[in-house]
Amino acid sequence: MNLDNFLLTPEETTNLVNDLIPQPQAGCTPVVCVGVLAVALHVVVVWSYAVAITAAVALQVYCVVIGPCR
Amino acid sequence: MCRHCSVGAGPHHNEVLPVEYVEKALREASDIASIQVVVATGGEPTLFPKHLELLIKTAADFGFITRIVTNAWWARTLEMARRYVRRWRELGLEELNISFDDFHLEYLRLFGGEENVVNAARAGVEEGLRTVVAVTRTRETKIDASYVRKLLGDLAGEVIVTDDFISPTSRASGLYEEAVENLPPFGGCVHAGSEISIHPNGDVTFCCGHIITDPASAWFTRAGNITKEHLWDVVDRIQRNVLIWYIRFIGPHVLVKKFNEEEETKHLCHACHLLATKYWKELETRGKEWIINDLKKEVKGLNVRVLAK
Repeated sequence: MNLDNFLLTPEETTNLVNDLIPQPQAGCTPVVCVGVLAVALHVVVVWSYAVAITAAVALQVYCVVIGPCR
Repeated sequence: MCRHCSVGAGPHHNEVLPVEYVEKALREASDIASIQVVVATGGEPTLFPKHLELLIKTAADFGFITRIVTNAWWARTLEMARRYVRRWRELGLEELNISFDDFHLEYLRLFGGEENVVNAARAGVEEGLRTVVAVTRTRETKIDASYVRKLLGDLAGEVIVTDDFISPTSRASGLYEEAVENLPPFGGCVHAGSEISIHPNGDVTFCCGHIITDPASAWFTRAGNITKEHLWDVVDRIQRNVLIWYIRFIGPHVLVKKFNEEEETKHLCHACHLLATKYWKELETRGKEWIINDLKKEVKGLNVRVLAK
């Protein structure tokens, strides 16, 4: 038995690192987050708190469940 | 010979890494940015004064932090201790790590006694070294960190005292019953892949290498040999070895449990020893692909457990 039996090839190393460390999804960038925050603030300032909360929750659900932060 | 020695050191082991390979190892290590500390350990490294002084001087010249691990047999009086420590400090030593516990004390009495520890620690502090007393325990031993702090008296605030537990491997396998189970609640061995040790025959291990002195388990931690290749090549293989990733992130004790639910492990080194000697066939049969897939599964589970904690 030899320890080298468990050596990874460069390709296996890359694939394993990508599997172990969650990679940011396409579109999940600070620009998107800032955009989402801007919309939420706009809603708070212009409309009522009820509408603001509903909109913020909807945005969060979108981002986390089906959107870019998934 | 100390009953708790997990590397099986003693007078029958008088091998030492030849000088040319000490220099080669340090020169090659100096080109690897992540290697920052060089430790001389054994056995008792002060029994090879020429090698030790060369190691300290060369390592310091290359800019490494330098440390020696010793049982302080040379510190019967404060004057003797000062003479030794001053010499090492002048060569570039920065850290003095003194091993002291019930097991060492049995033999330290031949050269003085527990006063040696106080003398060595005082000389270390006086010379401005980072000074540590490391205690190794079982459930039966009486010396622990608080005992040492009392022994050190006025020095206690200036000396780091650490508690650790034995690994029941090599000669310490005779202490299996009194060994305390000492395994991390999450994750594996922080030493695997982040430390290497170079042994007198040139073998390089991917960790502190405790189990390599047992011929049956040597293959498991041996990643290369400094007398035959460049240290870079050995470190490169260590970084690309998925079994080492598993040991570091998940732990060898988790693998042991997968191979045999009933098996008891007391220490991470003990778990590696079991994998090397008792479950090597399991490792061979399941192979690299199985380790890769199980590592992915365990890392996901580990994230969930850490978040839950």
